[in-house]
Amino acid sequence: MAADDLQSVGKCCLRCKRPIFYGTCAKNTSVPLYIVNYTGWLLKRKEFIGNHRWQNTNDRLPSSRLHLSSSFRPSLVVWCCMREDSSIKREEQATKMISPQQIRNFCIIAHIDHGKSTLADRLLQLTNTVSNRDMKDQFLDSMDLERERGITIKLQTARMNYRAPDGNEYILNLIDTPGHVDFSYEVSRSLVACEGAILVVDASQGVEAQTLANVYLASESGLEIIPVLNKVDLPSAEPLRVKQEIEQMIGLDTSNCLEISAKTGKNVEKVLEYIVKYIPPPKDRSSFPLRALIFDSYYDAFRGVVVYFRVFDGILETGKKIRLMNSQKDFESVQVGVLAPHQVPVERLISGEVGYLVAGIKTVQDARVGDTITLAHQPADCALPGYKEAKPMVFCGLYPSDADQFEDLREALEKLKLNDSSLSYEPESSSAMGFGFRCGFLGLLHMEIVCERLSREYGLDLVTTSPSVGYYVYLHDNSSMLIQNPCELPEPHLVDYLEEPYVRLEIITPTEYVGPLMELTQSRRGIFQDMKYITATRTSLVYELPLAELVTNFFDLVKSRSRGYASMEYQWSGYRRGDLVKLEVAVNGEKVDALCSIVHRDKAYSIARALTERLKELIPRQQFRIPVQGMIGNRVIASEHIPALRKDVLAKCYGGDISRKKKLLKKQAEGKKRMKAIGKVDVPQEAFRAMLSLKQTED
Amino acid sequence: MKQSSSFVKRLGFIKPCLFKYFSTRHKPQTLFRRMMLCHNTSLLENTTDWTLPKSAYIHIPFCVRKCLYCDFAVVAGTTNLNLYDTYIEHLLKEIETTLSYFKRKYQKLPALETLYIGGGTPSVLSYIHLQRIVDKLQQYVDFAPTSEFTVEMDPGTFDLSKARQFRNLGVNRVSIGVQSFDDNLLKLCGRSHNSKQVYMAWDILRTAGFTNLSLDLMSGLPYQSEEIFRDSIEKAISLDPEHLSCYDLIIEQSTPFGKKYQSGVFPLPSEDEAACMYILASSRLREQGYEHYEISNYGKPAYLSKHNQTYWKNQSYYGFGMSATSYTEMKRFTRPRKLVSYFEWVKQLEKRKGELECPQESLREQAVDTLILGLRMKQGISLNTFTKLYGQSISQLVIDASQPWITSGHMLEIYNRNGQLEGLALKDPEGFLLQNSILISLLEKSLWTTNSSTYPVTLS
Repeated sequence: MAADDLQSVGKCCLRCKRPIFYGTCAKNTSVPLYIVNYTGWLLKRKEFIGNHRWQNTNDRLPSSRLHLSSSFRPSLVVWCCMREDSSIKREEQATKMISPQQIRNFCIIAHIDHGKSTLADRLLQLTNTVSNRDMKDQFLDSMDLERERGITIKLQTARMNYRAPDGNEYILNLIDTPGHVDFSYEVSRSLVACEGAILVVDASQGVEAQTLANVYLASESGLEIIPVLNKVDLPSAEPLRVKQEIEQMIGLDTSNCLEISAKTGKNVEKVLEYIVKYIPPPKDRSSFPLRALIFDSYYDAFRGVVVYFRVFDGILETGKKIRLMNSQKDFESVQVGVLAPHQVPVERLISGEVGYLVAGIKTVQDARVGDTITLAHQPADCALPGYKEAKPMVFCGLYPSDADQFEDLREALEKLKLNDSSLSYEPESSSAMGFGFRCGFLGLLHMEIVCERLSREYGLDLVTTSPSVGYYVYLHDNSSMLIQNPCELPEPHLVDYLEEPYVRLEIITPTEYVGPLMELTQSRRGIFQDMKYITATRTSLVYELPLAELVTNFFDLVKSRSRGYASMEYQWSGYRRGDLVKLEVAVNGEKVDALCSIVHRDKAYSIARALTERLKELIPRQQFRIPVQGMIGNRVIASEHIPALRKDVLAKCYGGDISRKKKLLKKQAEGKKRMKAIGKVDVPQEAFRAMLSLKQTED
Repeated sequence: MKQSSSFVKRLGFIKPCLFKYFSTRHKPQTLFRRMMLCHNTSLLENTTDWTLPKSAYIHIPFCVRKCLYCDFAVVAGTTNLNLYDTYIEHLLKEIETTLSYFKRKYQKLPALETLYIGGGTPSVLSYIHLQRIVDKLQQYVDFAPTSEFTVEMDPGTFDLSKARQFRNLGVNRVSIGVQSFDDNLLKLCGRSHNSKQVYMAWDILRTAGFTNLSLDLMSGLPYQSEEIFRDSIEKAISLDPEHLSCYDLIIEQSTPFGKKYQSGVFPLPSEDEAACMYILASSRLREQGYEHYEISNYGKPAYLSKHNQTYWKNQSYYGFGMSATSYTEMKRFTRPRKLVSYFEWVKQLEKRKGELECPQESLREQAVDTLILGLRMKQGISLNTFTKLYGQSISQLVIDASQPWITSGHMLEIYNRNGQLEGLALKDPEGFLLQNSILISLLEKSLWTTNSSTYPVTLS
């Protein structure tokens, strides 16, 4: 739905007074439109706004927001104000006039699983931002997937009102950040909007690689860092050792470091005190021309793009004409508000505040993360420094297993892209898999999550090819090209040399696992850079490692070699020349482009052998003998064959058994449908991920 | 009538049994009734070819003990004769209600040509029970003079007097569950008898005067090697049975075997070994003069099971008793698999005066059934009948879909004297072994469509 079709039809008739928007549905149908104000569990009021004739689009309405009731006539019901009166009161408090001195913007940074989201939950509860009844674990993680896996994927913001023991009221803006290494760009984005960061360290696990990485990011942005030891209630907690680690590895003073337990709530109120005490308030620059940095945005089907921003200079008010400095586009600010953590509209946001803006922006591209908002009639001189764009590191092909779903896949990717700017995709076609997309991801977890969301939220049945990285190919004619799909690699005689991406990898591990980890890293073509004994028991290893070796299952192996104690962090470090070849696989004499990969020449033979053996296990026996060959160019370097199928299930079939037999056949046919036909051979989807599973067994 | 006799001419040379099948099929009376029916029924019934059943299956769920691979509806180990009586009461009630319903609706019922009492182990019943069942049936239907009346009997559950009594009641064919001649295997499978009892049982039946005996064997049992299986086959041959069934073990999840073993994994034979056993049985028995007339069944030429062919030709049949399936008036219905719910269901049936609450099978379903069942038989499906019942276009789709399998040597085309394509069948043993794969590919290209509610092409 284009934002042109967005119209305000009135205000919520309860206290929040927020404007109600609607989208369009079926063509030229007139339906009565109601706003239903929903308070708690009881339907309080249903207000008839009048009949409305839909215009030209035929967009579907997401049922969560708009409801076409099934009563006598189709009617559109807009739900609004889904909160208790008391929470509205709290939000009203939130909108009182304030001075920058009362504002504290902070984020929580930590290694994955050190308890960021739990601490955020406690802070929200302590400040009564969320009523106990609405409270659920990982409150800020709104995606199902986030809750299920217990991880944070997207950054989240919440505004809290805090009355300090000294009697002053403060506004605390919390930005919760993801912990997984794939999403570190989200962390860097949120850091810019803050003056301080709470560094959460697990009191038993100590400082981990991601802790360090996040600390470096935070100190680069000039943030005040408050170290906090979490999980001190655990029997295995060793606060003294961990404090020592923090001093030695990070160089932070831990003399009055807080020891808390976010789970039990111990000392969490002190965290709030520390925030007010140690994190500096934002500078009061309200008199300057407006400059607000967009740090996040998402697409809402009813209101267009909603951007989250931090005001650095000046004041942003509702109803003003605004300009986005990088895209040079002007919009009318329809609604400005704070996140408490639900969106609450306010009249104005002053310098130092964090909030959201609705301005009828049609596409996410118009309001890119990192852009600066200023006023159209009184623009600022220069934009704020933005962000580096998140670069996709890992690529893989996504193909619908049913060719009819191609358009659905395109639509689903478009929608995901709206809220996940780091996802990139372009159409590609493969002789084996038909039409699909080559997608770029930040890392394997990101890839896994996108695939899972596609299948879960959009009901798509996908075949994913094994992940690869981008290579630079230099040809004999001095031209060069970037390839993201191994199949695109030109014939060997045309290629002068290849360059592959490397990362700087840092592993922090208990000293006793250094040996196995070095062995692993060497076997993955790692180049040793540095080794430091941080404390008596912990060591940091620094390697340069080809990204291709990292993206398969390196992280899992690091974990298993160190019994889960090591942690790792990596940064992009550039391209290096490598002796690489294209390994192709032919099934029944036909080259399968989806199984093509670029590997190091020294490893090509062993990989090809393992791959063909794996494929032999994965491809079910068929009516004829199938040769499976690994090839470099036209040279066969490994060969296996799958013997012909001998026998099906020979159910005896009395009259009553026919329905069972039919079920059995249907089931078997379903199984076949999930496979891709390569020539005459049906290949199951797992086979296309054989490279992945192969690496797992190999080590 | 004219049409059917032209069938006979065309089919006659292929198989004598087929001739019999078509010639007995349309008696003038049934044809007349069908014409009457056509007046007020839908097109569906108009185009389908159905007659009143001439076969009946009766299920006796009682067993001495339950075999470890068995997932039939069975009540094992009970010696409570009251339970036998209660079950027979309900069974008789069901027969009475059902047959009187048919009698009311169609006035005269055709004589039964086959009656099959299976289980379970029907031979645990006393002859009085059996007599009551036979009497009840005879109140409503006649038994045709050439009727085939089979009872499944397990070694160790009957003596000579019981065998004679059964024979006097009209039983003329006995299917005896041997499964294997290897005592270790029998024990492992939880069978209630050993090989010695098999020989005794065989002597008893021959002494009692049975001239049509069928013997069940199993292949693919755990720890069963090709040698052990070959030995069982040879021992079976030495008994000179008129009919043999060789079933390949299917591991069902709900059984003790299902929890203990995994298909194709030791101690179960691998796929290749199991295939070898199948091929061994097929070649050895054919060599011995048995006709491999269905995937798992072998018979001397005049002793093919008439009853089972009713199933495979997708003809209608009555079904009585717990878990029994019936196929009457185009309704395929399976009775409850638990005693209590079966008793309850019989009471409901009485209230409904014998009418089954079950939808009729669609034409498409019938075509699928005909294909699945027909291709189990050596004679395969007759394309003429198939075309007549389900339309030229469907028939053509099936023929087209079978081409790759004919090329690969898994299917056979059957031509008549004039060189016209007459039927399709699976090749023995290659095609039989891959029946599922073949069926799936045929069905996918003909009767299964992505939207399975409609025919891919309209019926002519």
